[in-house]
Formats: sequence, C-alpha cells, structure tokens
Amino acid sequence: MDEHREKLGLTKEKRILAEDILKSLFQIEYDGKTSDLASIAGRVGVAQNEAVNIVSRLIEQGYVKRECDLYQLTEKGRELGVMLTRAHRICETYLAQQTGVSASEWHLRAHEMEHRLSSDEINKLADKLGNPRFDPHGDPIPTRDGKVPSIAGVPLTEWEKGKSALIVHVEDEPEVVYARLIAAGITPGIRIKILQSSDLFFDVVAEGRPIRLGVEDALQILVAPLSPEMQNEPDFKRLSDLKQGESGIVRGLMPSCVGLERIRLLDLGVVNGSKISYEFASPFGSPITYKVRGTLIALRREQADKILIDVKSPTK
Amino acid sequence: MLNRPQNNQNETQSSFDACEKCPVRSLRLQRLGVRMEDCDFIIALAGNPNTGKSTVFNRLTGLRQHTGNWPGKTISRAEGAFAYGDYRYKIIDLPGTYSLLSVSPDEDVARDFLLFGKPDVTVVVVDATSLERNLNLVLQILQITSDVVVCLNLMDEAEAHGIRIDTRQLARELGVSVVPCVAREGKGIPELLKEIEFVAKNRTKRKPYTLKLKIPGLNEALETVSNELFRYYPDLPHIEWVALRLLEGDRQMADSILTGRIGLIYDEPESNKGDNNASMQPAKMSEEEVKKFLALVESLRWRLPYNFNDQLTEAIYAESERICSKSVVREGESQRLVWQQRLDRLLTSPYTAFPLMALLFCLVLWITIVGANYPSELLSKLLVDWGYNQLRNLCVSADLPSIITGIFVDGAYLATAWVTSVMLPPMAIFFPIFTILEDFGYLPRVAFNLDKLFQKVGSHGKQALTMTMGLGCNAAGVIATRIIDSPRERLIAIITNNFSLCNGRWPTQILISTVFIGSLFPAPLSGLVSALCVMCVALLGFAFAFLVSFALSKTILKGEASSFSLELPPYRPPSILRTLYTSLVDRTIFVLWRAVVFAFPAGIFIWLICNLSISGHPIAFWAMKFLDPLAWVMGLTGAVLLAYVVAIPANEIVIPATLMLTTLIANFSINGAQAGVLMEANESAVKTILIGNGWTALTAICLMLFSLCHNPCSTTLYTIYKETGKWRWVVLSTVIPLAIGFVLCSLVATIWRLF
Repeated sequence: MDEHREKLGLTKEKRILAEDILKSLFQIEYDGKTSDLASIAGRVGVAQNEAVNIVSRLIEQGYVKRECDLYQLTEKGRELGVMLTRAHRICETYLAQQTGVSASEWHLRAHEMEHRLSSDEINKLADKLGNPRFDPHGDPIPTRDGKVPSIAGVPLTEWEKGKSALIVHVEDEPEVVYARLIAAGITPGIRIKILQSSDLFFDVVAEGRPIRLGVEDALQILVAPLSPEMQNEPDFKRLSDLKQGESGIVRGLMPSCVGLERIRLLDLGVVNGSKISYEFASPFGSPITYKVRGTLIALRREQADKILIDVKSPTK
Repeated sequence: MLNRPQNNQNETQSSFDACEKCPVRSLRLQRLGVRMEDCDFIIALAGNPNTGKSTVFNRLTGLRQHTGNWPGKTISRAEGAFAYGDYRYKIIDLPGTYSLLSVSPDEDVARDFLLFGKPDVTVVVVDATSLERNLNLVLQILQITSDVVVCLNLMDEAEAHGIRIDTRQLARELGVSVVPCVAREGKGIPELLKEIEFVAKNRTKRKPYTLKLKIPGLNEALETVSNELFRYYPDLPHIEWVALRLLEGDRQMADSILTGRIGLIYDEPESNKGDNNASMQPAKMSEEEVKKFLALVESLRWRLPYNFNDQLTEAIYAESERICSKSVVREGESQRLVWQQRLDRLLTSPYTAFPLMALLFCLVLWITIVGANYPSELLSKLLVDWGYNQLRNLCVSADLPSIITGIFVDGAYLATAWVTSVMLPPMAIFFPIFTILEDFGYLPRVAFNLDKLFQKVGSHGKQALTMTMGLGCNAAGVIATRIIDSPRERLIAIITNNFSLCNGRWPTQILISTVFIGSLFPAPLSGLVSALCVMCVALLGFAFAFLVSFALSKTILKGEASSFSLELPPYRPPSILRTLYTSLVDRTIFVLWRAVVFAFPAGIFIWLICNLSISGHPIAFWAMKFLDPLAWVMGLTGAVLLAYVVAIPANEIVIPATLMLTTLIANFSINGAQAGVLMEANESAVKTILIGNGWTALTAICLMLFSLCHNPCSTTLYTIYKETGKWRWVVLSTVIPLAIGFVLCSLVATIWRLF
C-alpha cells in the first residue's frame, strides 16, 4: 500500500481523495452496482469535476480503466482498493472496540486515521485487535493478503414478512439514517422479523425489541437466512427486563457488545447456559447487581440491555 | 556454536536435565526477562485476580522478591526465588487473568510466557469459593501444559460458605495434583512445595488435557488444521491449541509457522538467526506448502460462525460446570451467605447507604488526624529538634564552611526531616485503614453506590475509590486509577485527583483553621469547628472534582461513557496484622524515597534563595516583593505564594516555609531562628507571627482554598507522567487546579472586601 502511495505522487489532499475513490470503486464492484462518474462522486462526497480529475490521474497510472461511461478497477487498482478497504475497516473496528467513540463517529474518525497509517501500522493494529474477521458494520475485513469473501444479503425491504432473518450488514451511508439505526440497537449479527409493513413503515422485532422503521431505514439493512441452529430459537428477553428477585438463563451477548466489555462479561461466565439472577440495586437505581456463576457483578442498564436471556418464573 | 540437545526424540524419558542446561532456553527466557543462572527450575504462578495469588507468592518467596515490568510492557510483574530440597526455584508471578482466549495485554503476557517460556511447573491458584469460574482458566492452561499443580486456595472461606470440595475427584478429572490451601495461614504450603518438586523433576511429555468441544463449524475446521500440522510437525505437543490459535487469527502463531520456528517450540533469540544455522532446526514445510497451509486456515476462518469465540468460552464453562458438579457439594444456604446478603442490603439500600458511608468517611479522617498527632510530634522532636541540632554541632565542630552547613543541614536535611515527620504518621495510619476496607470488600460497594453520580459527569464509579485514595496521597491516587479500564475515564480520574485533599495538606488546613477560625469560638467548640472547616474544604474538593470531570468529559475528553462493570467480591475478614505490617513497610519506604528525592533539593533551594543576596537583600525578598501584587488580588501575601512555589516538591513544607519567609521579610526572629531555616512553632507562636504580619481571617480562608486548588506536588506530577506517558496531561493537571485556585481566591477576596 505504501509503495502505491508514493507512486501516486499526489498532494496529501488529492491522495486522500484518490484513495477514497479507489475504495468506493472496490465497494461498488463488491456490491455489483453501477460505477459511473455520478455515483462515484456521490459516494465520495465531492463534485463531479473534482472527481474526474483524480480519476483521470488514476487511469493514467493504471489503477482504473474506463469502458464507455463506466469506470472499473484494473488488477493493480483492485489490489490497492482492497488494502485501502482493509485499512478503513480495521480503523473502524479499533474505534468501536477499544475507544469510547460513539458509533456515529466511527466513519469520520476512521477516515482520519486510515489515510495516515502505513501498511505495517495497520497490520499491527489488526494484531492488537486479534485479527477480527468483520468490522462493526458486519462487513468482512480483507486479510493482509488481500482476500475477502463475499457476503450475501438482501435489503430488508425484499424480505418475507413473518420470517426471521439474520442482519448481515448495516449500510453506513447516509450517516443520519445509520446513527438512527445504531441508536435503535440494529447491528449486524442480530435477528430481525417483519411484523407488518406498509408503503412508509416497517414494524419489526429486532432481537426481542419492537421497533418501527421507515422505508429508507429498512433499505440500509441487509439480511440473510438464519443458520439451522438459530432458526429454532425463540425470541429472547434482555437482562434489563429482569426484576427484583427474578432469575433467568443467559442465552448470549448482543453483537453490539464489543471490546473490553465483552471480554469482561465472557470472563465472568455470562455465556449461554449460565443462570443469572437479580440481587439488589444501588440507592440511585442504577447500577444493579446480578449474580452469575457464583459471582456478584454490577452492571448499568446499558450493559444489561446487551445481554440476552430466557426468563424463568420468579424464585420466591 | 550451540549444541542443541535432540530432546524431541525421547519423549517418555525425563528430559529435564537436557532442557535446563540448554543455553538456548536461557537466552529465550532472558528475552522474556528472566535470568536463569541462579536457579534450577522456573515456576509460573497463574490464576484469576483476587484469589490470594500474591499471598501464595509471598509465602513461597518470603522477602526474596522484587517487582519490575514485563519487557516492553507497562504491566508490572513480581519475581522471587526460594530453595527447597536440593534445588533452587525461581517463581514468576503472571498477571491475574480470567482466561487466555482474548486479546488483552495481561492475557498476551500470560499466554506468551506459558507457551514460549515453557516454565518447568505452572502453579494455578484457584479460589475454592468460585471454582466454576476459576476452572475456566485452569482448563485453558491445561491445553498448553500438563506440568501443572492446582493450588486450591481460600479453603477456609469455602468452608465458611458451606462448600465442600472433593479434591481427589477434582484431581482425577483434571489429571493434575490439586493441593487444598489456606495460604493466608500457611496451611497446605508444605504439600504444595512437595507437589511442585515432584512435577519439576518428573516432567513427562504427558498428553495434555483436551477439551471436548462440540461447536458446529469449529470442530471440523480444528480437525483439518490439526491434521495438516501433524503431517509436518508430529512432535508438536499442543497441536490442537496451536490450531485453535491459528483459527482465531493469532498472528504470532502464523509467523512462527512461516519461519519454521514452530517446529522448535522455542523462540530463537534474534542474535542467533543470522549466524550459524546449525542451531536452528530446518523448516519442515517448504515456502509453497506454508503459503497453502495459511491460505487454508484463512478460508476456514471465514466459514466459522460469527460468534464462535463466545461458543468456545461457553464450551469451556460447560465443561467447568460438569467437573464442578462432580466434585463440589454445597451444603445448603450457609450462615455466611445470609450474612453477606444482609450486609449488602444494608450497605446499598437507599436509606442506609449514604449515612453509613459519610459516617465511615468522618471516622477514618478523625482516626488519621488524631492518631497521627502524637507520632508526628515525636518524629519532629527526634529528627528536627534533636537530629538537627546534633548535625549542626557536628558540622560546626568539624569546621565546615558555613555555606556547606547551611545548604546541607539547614536546607536539605531540615526539609527532608520535616517532610518525613509530617508525612509519615498520617500515611502510616490512613493507608492501612484503606487497605483493610479494600480487603474486606467494602470499597467496591462504595463505587457501586456512587456510580450514578459519576455517570452523570461522564465518568466511572471507580473514580470514587481513586479519589478516596487521593485523600491519603495524590500520587497513590493516580496510580490507583489503573483499576479504571477506559483510558478516557482514567484520564479524568487522574486529572481531577488533585482535588482530593491529600495528607500532606491536612496539617496546613488544620493549623490554619484552628488558629484563625476555631479561635473565634469558645474553647469546647473550637476543636469541633476547625474539624468541620477541614471537612468542608475536603468536600469542596470533591465538588470541584465532579465539576472538572464534567467539564472535561464535555470538552477535551469527550466520548461515550464506557462500559461499566464492577465485580463485588464476597466480604472477607481482612488479616489486620498482616495488612498493617505490609502497609507500614510500603508506606515508609515510599515516604522516605519521596523525602529524599524531592524534599532534599527543595530544602537546598529554600536555603539558597534566603541567603544569597542581590543588592543587599536575599533573593527571596525580591521574589516576595514581585509576587505581592498578585498575592493581594488573591487575598494572600507574597510570602505565601513564594512558599507555594518553593513547596512544589512537597506540600508539607508550605506552613514552615510561609512562617520562615514571613519572618524573613519582617526581620522578626523567633526561637533564635536563622534565615532560611524551616521552623516549626506551636499554635500561639504561629498566631503571633502571622497576625503580626497583617494576616486576617480572609488570608486564612484564601490560604485554605488555595491549598485545595493549586498545582499537584512534584511527586504526583512525576507519577502522572509515568502513568500517562504524555506531557500534555501533566500540564493540564497543573493548569486546571491553578486556574481554579486563582479565580476562586480572587473572587472570595473581592467579595470579602466589598463588605
């Protein structure tokens, strides 16, 4: 990646734009969409005349080729595009897992990081994160050899009503819709089912919680069929639904529970099959102490929300 | 160059002789920071946090231990040695971890040492009261090595909780020896040593314990990878573990295969690589084969279920549960458990939680202040009155030039003596009390109760603990912030720690409030009033800490409130005597170090500025004159400000420095004090001096406020730098309190003068 950067020989600003364009082309190719100048410029967020200059430069240097009005990556371009995509996704994963940055800021902050770090630094970061396979959006992170599998998924709008599906990807653009979805708890890796739909709304149940989505929201959610084991599972409740004196069985952690938080919970035995009970609350009502595998652990409501459980009948 | 023994061949033969003497091993261990020259066997000590691991460590090593850091990391580690039977052992304390599966610096260190350090024996300390959770780590360690001895500690606690463990059954299930202990009382330690010796001398290449995993998708992948590995490295003892690490994306493993080092099991030191390749075993896989293999692993990785890591943990817990169900018997609801629950309800219920906390807080303050009084006086008499005079006479009779006497005796020695006598007693009382509360298990409940408040200001409940620690010593409070996981919240805790009124400032507060404010009230009330004043200042400090935390989390340290999770350990009777002893020793050493490193030069500086003259007046005189206007705005005097500058190394020096500088400027001599000599004086003398120099109640109040809100002492600043590694946080920690102090004092002074 670094040698390519040198060869491009552009000023920093232009280089960043060129890299974004290559990344977009890679993503367009991956999604199987059209790659005319308008869509490229739209994705990167610049005017068409700005984009066309950089694209010409890229064609000159052999990264992009043009066929009629559509632009495509050459072999060389694809190589670079994949590495840039990897850099972006690693940065986003880092931000999601190891910093306190909120989901709506990942994209922007990653953008600042990814154009600055070298290949080596990206690889070191990946090692630090344990070489994750997926980024926080559910997109696969290309390996350091440039391999990336395809993830099949259809927009929620094309999915059958009443049939459960697994969310495999949440599109991060437009940003305002993405922020809304994240706030509602919609992340890759959870189950979703459409209860009702109309021209304007989709009423869904996402991992046990009912949510009303607009059509543009539903378009950003890509889903795929559930694996056989997951199909037979009932809807789960959340730990925060547990009341004083009640207990339940842990069924898993929401995918939005990442990083240190997740590690800590797994360490303490908050895994599928563990019994968990509500012990007592703090004077202010939060946090609440639960007992799991013989350990007393205090959690705030936001953390308890991310733990999926089956509720048993009250013990007393 | 190096004649490597072919120890991979004879597997059943006890091969420890060859291994131990092998210089390659010692080089490798050296890279991990361990020197092998003076011992026969290496022991790794592992276990969950809070299992009494350090007690076991102390029991085995006595005082023959030292702490340092793991190479290249900021994780501290303790290393010790002992002799048993005919052999010498070196024991390394690994960081307390709950598992080895995830990516965190502690776990990396532990895992690397077990895999590449290849200790002769691994002792895992396990808490008998939460066996299920502790077995999680044991089972994972057993995947890496079977030269393990399980130390089943806290058996007395287990008994009190009505838990009975069939250690024989447990040992049978795990396939290694299990030694029940009560490390605190030394019970079980002789048996432990015996087992350690046995394992060390009889290291057979037993097949390691394998977890039966039934994870769809993972089993097949594991089998495929393991089989491939086996084709090329049939002697590799932990093939399935290596396969698992590869599938988890462990880069180090992949690299070891790439370079062929995996066949060596050991990690070759860099220096040997280029030289003589006779020391390295030839790589068993050709480059082509390696590429193919790693590509295979990669493709298998993609097909693993999204959350296979969770499932792995789940499988280990399921196994742990199974083993426990066979070896652990809970005899009904024990009395102990009932008491624990009652106590928890009491300490966290809405009506009783805060009153009790406040009461305890006052109690601790009171004990520290009253308890420290007498020893402080004694020390002061010894070091300052007697010691100083002795030294002085010695120097005079030795005919040393007066400037040397001045610098070293009047300046350096006196300052050091002062800091020690003022600092040592309160710390020696406060910290043991704090540690006892911590050992007992009360402090996490405090964090639990107060968390909501901290969440509101964007911080973490554990900051309550660091703030309380800061009441003893700000530097200790800064170090204590290590318990806060999130870097952002940790920084907030570090920067605001200064608002905790540390022990070094208490004398200032107490003296000034007694002289100026308590004296305004009739005799029986005056003591109470001055105590209340000090409490108010301390609480004001906390208020500022909240305010600044809030401001920081909205501006410079913006970010989401991070994950909060707090483990509430069961209440345990603290070992009071032991705590007192270790605390005392630790604290004494710390204070002495601080006195020497920071107070000593400060003393020299004070003496110099008071005795070196420019244009007929000492430097101090000019400095005070320069600072007077600023001081007036703040309701203070130039002497006070200069004293604060001078007292940057150690807050304790403020009062004596103020007195001395004040008398200097007034040419007022009391008790035969000479220029540049720190003085102690009793209350009435202090009052006379200060009032004689124009001090009023305003000056007193502003002094108390400024004492609360000014830059941290140099020890704290140094600690902040060590903990954060960045100068900007040090600067921020200095500027924020100073700015607040300036504004606050000026405001108070202005308002006061209006009336």
